[in-house]
Amino acid sequence: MAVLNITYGGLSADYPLDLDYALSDMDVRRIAVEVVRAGGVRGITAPTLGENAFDNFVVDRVGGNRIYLRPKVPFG
Amino acid sequence: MIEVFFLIGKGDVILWSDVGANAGSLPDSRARWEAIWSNRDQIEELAHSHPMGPLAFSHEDTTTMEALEAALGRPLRFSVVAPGGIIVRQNGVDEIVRLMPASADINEGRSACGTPQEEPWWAALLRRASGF
Repeated sequence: MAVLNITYGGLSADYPLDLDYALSDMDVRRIAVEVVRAGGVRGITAPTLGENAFDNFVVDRVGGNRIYLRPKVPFG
Repeated sequence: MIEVFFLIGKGDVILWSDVGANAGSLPDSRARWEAIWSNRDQIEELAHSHPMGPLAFSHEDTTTMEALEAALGRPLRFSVVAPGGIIVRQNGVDEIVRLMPASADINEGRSACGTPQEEPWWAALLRRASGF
């Protein structure tokens, strides 16, 4: 089982992913939108979250089974 | 020259800094994000340099700023230090703070609302670290 950590609205929380296949970054962003809308991430409530809410977020795979969805931070 | 990032806290304290690979970009960095997140309650401003200009926020800057405000859940103050001055964005409003050497026309240092603006102390350090 993998764990998706989502940072949004000043909070950071985990959501268990009971999946046995690799997720693309797009999959991760889409799942995050759905679970946040549904109130499935403890403390993060945004029922009207837009489809593109996480388009400027990075999917960080730092080893193990943890996936972090965090804002991108490059500057140009 | 090189792009430099400063994370500014209350009292104009530099909480964290890093440098890019060249004068044109600061690539995404997990360490930068972790510094921002761990200092989120103290952050007053996020500043970076454009050593070769322009005195403006890039598209990359704008989308990063949107992502950061969404993640932290509050409006933030961002600035770009360029050879011609400093531009600040807060609550979606841009304001240019120009350099004010003693011989300069006083109008050069006026903001959109007409108040002369002084640079924060760290602006000179950011310029020096960036090589301009």
